[in-house]
Amino acid sequence: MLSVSDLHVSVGAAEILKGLTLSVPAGEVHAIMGPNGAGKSTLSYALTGREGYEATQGAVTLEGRDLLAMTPEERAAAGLFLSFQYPLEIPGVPTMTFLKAALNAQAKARGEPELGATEILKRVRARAGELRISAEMLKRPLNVGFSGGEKKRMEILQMMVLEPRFAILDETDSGLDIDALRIVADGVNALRAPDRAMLVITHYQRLLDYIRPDKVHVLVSGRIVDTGGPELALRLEKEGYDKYLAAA
Amino acid sequence: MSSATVLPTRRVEAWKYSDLSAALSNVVLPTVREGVDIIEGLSGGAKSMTVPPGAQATEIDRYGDAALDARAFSADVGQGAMLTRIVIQARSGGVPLSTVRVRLAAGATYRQFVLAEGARLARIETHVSVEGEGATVELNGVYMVGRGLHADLTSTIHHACAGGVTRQLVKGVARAGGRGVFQGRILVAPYAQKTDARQNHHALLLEDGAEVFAKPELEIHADDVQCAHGNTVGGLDAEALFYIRQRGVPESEARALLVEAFLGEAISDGLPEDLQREILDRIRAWLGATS
Amino acid sequence: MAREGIDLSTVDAVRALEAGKYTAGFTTDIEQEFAPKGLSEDTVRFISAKKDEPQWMLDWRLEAFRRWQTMEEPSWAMVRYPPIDYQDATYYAAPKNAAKYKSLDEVDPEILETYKKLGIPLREQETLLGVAGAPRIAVDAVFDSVSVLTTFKKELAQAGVIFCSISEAVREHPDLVKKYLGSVVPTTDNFFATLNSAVFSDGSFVYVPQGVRCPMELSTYFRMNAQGSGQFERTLIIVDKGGHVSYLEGCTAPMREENQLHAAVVELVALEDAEIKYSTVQNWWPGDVDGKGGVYNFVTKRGDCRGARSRISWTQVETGSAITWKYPSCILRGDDSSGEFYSIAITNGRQQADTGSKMIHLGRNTKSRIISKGISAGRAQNTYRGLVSIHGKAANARNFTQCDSLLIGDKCGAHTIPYVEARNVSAKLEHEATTTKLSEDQLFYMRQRGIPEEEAVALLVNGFVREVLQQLPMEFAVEAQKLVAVSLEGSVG
Repeated sequence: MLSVSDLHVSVGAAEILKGLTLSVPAGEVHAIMGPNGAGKSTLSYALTGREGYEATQGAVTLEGRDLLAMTPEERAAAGLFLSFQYPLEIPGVPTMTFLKAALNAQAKARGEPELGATEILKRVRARAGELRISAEMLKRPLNVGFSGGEKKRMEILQMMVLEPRFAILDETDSGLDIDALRIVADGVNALRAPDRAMLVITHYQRLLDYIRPDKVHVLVSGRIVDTGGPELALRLEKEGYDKYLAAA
Repeated sequence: MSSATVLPTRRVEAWKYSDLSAALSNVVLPTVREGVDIIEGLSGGAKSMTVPPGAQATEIDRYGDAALDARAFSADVGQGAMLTRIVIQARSGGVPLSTVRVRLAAGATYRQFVLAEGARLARIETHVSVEGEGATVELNGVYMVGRGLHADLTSTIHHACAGGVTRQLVKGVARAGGRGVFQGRILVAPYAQKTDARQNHHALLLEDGAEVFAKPELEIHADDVQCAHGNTVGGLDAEALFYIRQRGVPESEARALLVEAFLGEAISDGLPEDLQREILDRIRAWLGATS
Repeated sequence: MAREGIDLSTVDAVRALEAGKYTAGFTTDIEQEFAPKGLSEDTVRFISAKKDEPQWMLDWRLEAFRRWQTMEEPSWAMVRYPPIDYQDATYYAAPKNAAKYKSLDEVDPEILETYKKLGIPLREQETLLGVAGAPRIAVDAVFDSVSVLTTFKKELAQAGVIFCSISEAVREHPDLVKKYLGSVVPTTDNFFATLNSAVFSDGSFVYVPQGVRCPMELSTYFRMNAQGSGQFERTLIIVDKGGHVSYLEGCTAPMREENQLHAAVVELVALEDAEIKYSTVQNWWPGDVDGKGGVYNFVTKRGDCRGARSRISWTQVETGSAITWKYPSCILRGDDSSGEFYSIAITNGRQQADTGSKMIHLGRNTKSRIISKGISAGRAQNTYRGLVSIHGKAANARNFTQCDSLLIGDKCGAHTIPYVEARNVSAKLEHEATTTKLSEDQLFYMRQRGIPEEEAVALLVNGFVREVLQQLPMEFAVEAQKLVAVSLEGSVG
């Protein structure tokens, strides 16, 4: 499904990713762990096409399509979704308006029929209930005045409504208390499907108790330096990254 | 408008609220040129200095009771250097005029504090030009004016280079018959990206018949900037006043307390201690004398 | 539900239009008659005669003209333009036979077609946007120097409301006109207002009698068509005690290579407990991307809250004109009266706008509110300039002012110049202003969700101006939102 090979990414003059290779097949959930400054957020921005994150070498494909050649919105229409580490506040744009615009723009780009307002509303309300997002929150401008936890739940709501093929969850657990973490994890798990894959970027093992990954990768200094099963995460929690940092 | 003696009047936009020509109508003047130059044209009133890179300097300007006291001051502040200037304009029946031009090199800091007690017409005019990257301007001031007194704090901060920071906080109080003026202009030139400028002016009218005129101005020609200004004018917070009185403090004291707290916010911590004390003493004296 | 629909219809509107096209830029080919080029007492007499005006009106004009000759053009605004040759313009242009139109059937079909193309159908059974069930709107259509038609006059007359062209009011309601014309903006007020007083051609007149709520929205649609002509309209709205009116004006002009001068005066008078809501969607031709052509929009708009508890509210969406110089104001004379000003000013290309409001607090317990959203893109300059003045007798006066500027691109400018004059101890004034750029983070976030860049910009800008758009009557809000999006096309990417 997602294939990253020998990816080099520079931000300004600094090369952050230095030959990253990664493959996530359909139906699987992979976790990426690593110390601060390893390049975790750079990876999520490079995959989604943020300006200023320049791929200087390597290739990225999603279901065989070259992602690097696409604009951010084309990548989104191709099925790529990023749950932001720091979700943005968009003053003046109500959440429902935003979701409608995104859904219909993606449908249009894919040549699918656009959804009616009522249908969208139904879909959003059902999902919002699961995430304990109130109707009142949906009326407010997107994320404006929301707490950290509310913003993260709003990211998952968007993911559930947009139904991406490949989702990147960037530090989704940060800023969540244990109840919110469970709600978010339930939402993510509900989206696990044979034709969908996910990449969970996290600092701590905690989230992986709730979202059980098929594979865990260790990202250090811009490269994947180790890969294993869920047990690798537990080991990292105990031993830290010193071993890898020393080698790098 | 040539070589004739032309003093700025209220018809001149930058002197809208300070009619110099009227204030000097019965003062005998030497021949002067028009516009701002009149100040520099007066004898004995001009001074300039250079603060070398990395150095620190402090300049104190005191204005007393002269019928006309017009001074011009200009300074070049070198890279990473810092100039602190304190102006104390004591209450007077004369016409004190101060015009300052400061140029800042990269990483330089200009910190100014003005205490203006008002005069027949007092005008403290400050022009700062940020000509090196990452320079810092702190332009604070307090004015307090009573009957027959006028204080005008006018400034232009020209960000001609990227990454500059401006923090400006001017606070004023006016009693019946007093007039406070704040005119502050922040100009961000094209290419002066990442400029971060905050300008605030807050004034209290303490009695009916007091006047405050304000014209805060942002002129922004670069897009990647953070610029904001705030301006409020009003009376003392009645609720706060009541709260303090409910605790047993007499009204006049409660008022003084609130006004002192209000004005005190503009006095920056970076000033020399003895001057800080003097400024506070002057504020207290003013509050004590007139309340 | 409906409000949410607006955002998406904006997006549709953007899609439907070719990039950067001013859709109102066509010309109408009809027979017209003109005043001789140039400006003199004869020109003033010519205009007055064309309108069969009584002697007092001509005298009023001539006095203004003589005054104007002694005045200087103001230069304090942050706008730059070459000197205007006032002798090189035509001060009167009208469709031939226009004065004779008694009903829709007599109006030149070309003119009807023009308004239809602009989305302003003049057939009375139709509403502004042709939407079934939407409220009906009475329209006064002003084509160059004359009002060609006013709709729904009979129905309005039944309610006691007078809605007609100012020329007609001078003839039919001279007492009202004499009493109120120039009572808010005197003939001596300023260079452009004085010029207007001398040569004003047409405009609308509204009188709402005591206790009457005007049964429908009133609207004037100004169209500048003739080449080399200026438009000098004069609008006078009087709402008597306890009355209420909501009034809209729209403006467009053809694409012309030369600059066209538009110097209008609008006077509003609200007596005790009266309420006037005045909305403008100004889309005069802004000139091309290099700044060639476009309308000089030098306008004096002022409302007088003359009676106690009266209210005047200005809402403006300014997207057109090469230069805008305009400060809709309120004189809060009556105790407990209130004034509001909501503004969206968008400048793109080489446009320049110096606009804002004046709130003059004279009475006790008067309140005012100013919300201004300026957006600058391309090489444009956008200035908010406003005055809040609290006089000594205005006890308990309140003002809140919020000015936000948004910059799109690094070659434009956004400026905020508020003047504050406080003379009463119990007054409270607050002013806040921010200047920011369109956030790249927000743009990326929206694009990550699949929303294309232009659409993301339109959504963000609509979010930025929403507070003001909500002040517009529904029918105009949709139009205005489309305009906002269209006028920013090509500003990113």
